[in-house]
Amino acid sequence: MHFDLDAGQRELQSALTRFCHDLFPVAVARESGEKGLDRGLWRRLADLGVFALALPDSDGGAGLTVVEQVLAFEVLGAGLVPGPVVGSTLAAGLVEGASTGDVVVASVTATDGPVLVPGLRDADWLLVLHDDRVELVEAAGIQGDLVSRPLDPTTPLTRLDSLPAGEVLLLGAASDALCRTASLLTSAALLGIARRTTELATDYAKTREQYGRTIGSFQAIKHMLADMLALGEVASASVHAAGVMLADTSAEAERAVAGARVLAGKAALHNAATNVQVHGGMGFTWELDAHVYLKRARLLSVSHGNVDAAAETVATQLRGALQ
Amino acid sequence: MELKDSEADAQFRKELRVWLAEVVPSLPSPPDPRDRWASRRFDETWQRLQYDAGYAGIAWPKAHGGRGATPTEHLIFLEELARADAPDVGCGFVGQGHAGPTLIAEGGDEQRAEHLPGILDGTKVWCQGFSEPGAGSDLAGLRTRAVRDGDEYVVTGQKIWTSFAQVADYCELLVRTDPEAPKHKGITWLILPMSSPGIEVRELVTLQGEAEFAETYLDEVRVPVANRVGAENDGWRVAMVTLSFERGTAFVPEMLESLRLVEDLARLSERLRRGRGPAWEDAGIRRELGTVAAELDALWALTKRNVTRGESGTVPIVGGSSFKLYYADVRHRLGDLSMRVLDQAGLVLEDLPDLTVARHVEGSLHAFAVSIAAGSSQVQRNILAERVLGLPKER
Repeated sequence: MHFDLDAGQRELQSALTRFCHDLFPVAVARESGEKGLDRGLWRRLADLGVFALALPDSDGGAGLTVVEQVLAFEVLGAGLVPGPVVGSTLAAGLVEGASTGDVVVASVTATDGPVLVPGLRDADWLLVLHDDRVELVEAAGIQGDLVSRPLDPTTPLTRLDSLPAGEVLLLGAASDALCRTASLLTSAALLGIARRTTELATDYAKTREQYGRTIGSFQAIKHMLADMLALGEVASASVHAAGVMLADTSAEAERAVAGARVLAGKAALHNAATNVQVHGGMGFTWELDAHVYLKRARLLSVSHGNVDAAAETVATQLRGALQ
Repeated sequence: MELKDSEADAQFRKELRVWLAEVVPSLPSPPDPRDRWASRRFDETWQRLQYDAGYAGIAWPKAHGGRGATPTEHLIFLEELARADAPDVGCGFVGQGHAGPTLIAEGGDEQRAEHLPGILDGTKVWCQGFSEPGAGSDLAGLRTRAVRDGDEYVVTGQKIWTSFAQVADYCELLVRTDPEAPKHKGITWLILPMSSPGIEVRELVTLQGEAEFAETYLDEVRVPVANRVGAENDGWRVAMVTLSFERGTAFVPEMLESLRLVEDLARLSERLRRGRGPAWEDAGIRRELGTVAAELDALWALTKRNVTRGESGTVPIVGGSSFKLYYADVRHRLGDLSMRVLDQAGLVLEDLPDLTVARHVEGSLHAFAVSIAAGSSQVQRNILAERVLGLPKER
């Protein structure tokens, strides 16, 4: 057992963090929401190999596993990187041009009735994840209405009356595996938000002064920050463990992936909200990015699963393990 | 990053499992915990079996009579013990978890030779004389006074929360030897034989209705200077060595036990009615069961990461304090959930006919021990904020 990042995995995270810092400041995400995805930047993200991490070398990938994908999505989540990164990663190897960034692929988990699809406005294809299969639909043929005021200002939403049928790409175990990966990569992005908002709130608490001292010297603030740190720490253990179990096709992977959503969803929502609170009046402004982390967390927390359904899955798995 | 057993670890696990399958069913049934001496005899029996099988002092170095297991083997040991429903360490806790490792790290050769064998084979029981009525979270504020008189210290004062004091042979005792020095610099660590004249132990009944703790009154108790561990007035540093063991894996066995509690609660929720149907059919109950199980799974994963990061011995502060803080919170929520599932069956501290509920009701009260003992949740938050996040100290 060696349950910690190895040197290569640390390097992957730090290289991607530098890249996001340089090319995807939050202003880019905010502009992308209004004006559309910058395809040039998208290709540079693809050039870095983000979408192709788990593809074999022979297909132009890095030959890595879902563990490295999880670590990458933690960074993408922390950086609020715009665009349907989960869909395009899932589509790498399934949809021509997805891994190289030449086409953009959005994704959605199927539900009955009307559905809101994130990122469809900027996408060429849509992956639809059903209970038993994965389908691919060409975006141009989909009838839908663009939502004029999406909650997350960095992510466009398209409202569809129902999901169109498409070409069946995967069935059975391969379809199940893709759905779990979709859920876990989304949880990894939530984890990234949980950790980034802890850093932002801590930095602010160290510089903001009231009553003649930095607010981070007040125990009321300190304890909020300590809770944020602990939530992120425990959630990261959960998300990383789920990655390892999914890569190992462990029998406990379903419980672990669902558990990761419970932990990462809770940590991201709590920490993003606390970050707004710690920033006080400025946190309540449109100008500051604090609300963007919170709104992205809200979007991700109901993308490819949600915390309540995940908790039910863990409970069902718990009962199954007892019988 | 990986979680699988290596070949050697798998072999260790397999042998341990075979041994546990044989030995656990052969144990006598545990006595009423209120009978302190019967509990001590039971704990000694269990420790002796581990000793004979070569598992005593699992993580202690071989040179000091331990097994010298790797940190990973230590975790496998704890995991398999929980899986086999083996007894917990009981009154051996202080000796095996605190006093022994402290003597290994800081004790003299004679002290080690005298005390380590009895801790390992279970024949000697230790208690901890650290906290005082006026020194809880602020442990360094302790006032029990030790005055040098030739080859002896004369000790007078009062200790509190001394678990197992009623049945202990020795006490790891912190005393003030220099009242003039700054509070951290006038403390000394002593080995106190509990048979010494001048000691009075009074049982202290907890909110669980059990005398798990005691108050220990010391009235001019004479302790040989040879019983000092470390230098005079260097006891704070020695105590921190002791506590660093406590913040490592001390709560892992009961965290694993909590997972068993959740599993049992899930079973009970299918049998107990809540409103019109079984509690399990209530989505709110199911979700909370799933949430708590997921959080305990996460704490187990965090433990594995802490152990990996602390291969050299000490668990990093961020991992250790996060574990303790989060675990205490989960235990409180598990307690609340237990009481919701049990409904009226949660109003008794004993098992009902055909319904084993007492462990859940006791568990809901035990949660307070987790959030108060060994660094309260508020102290853990200060540690994380000041020592990990680098926020300014209060004063």
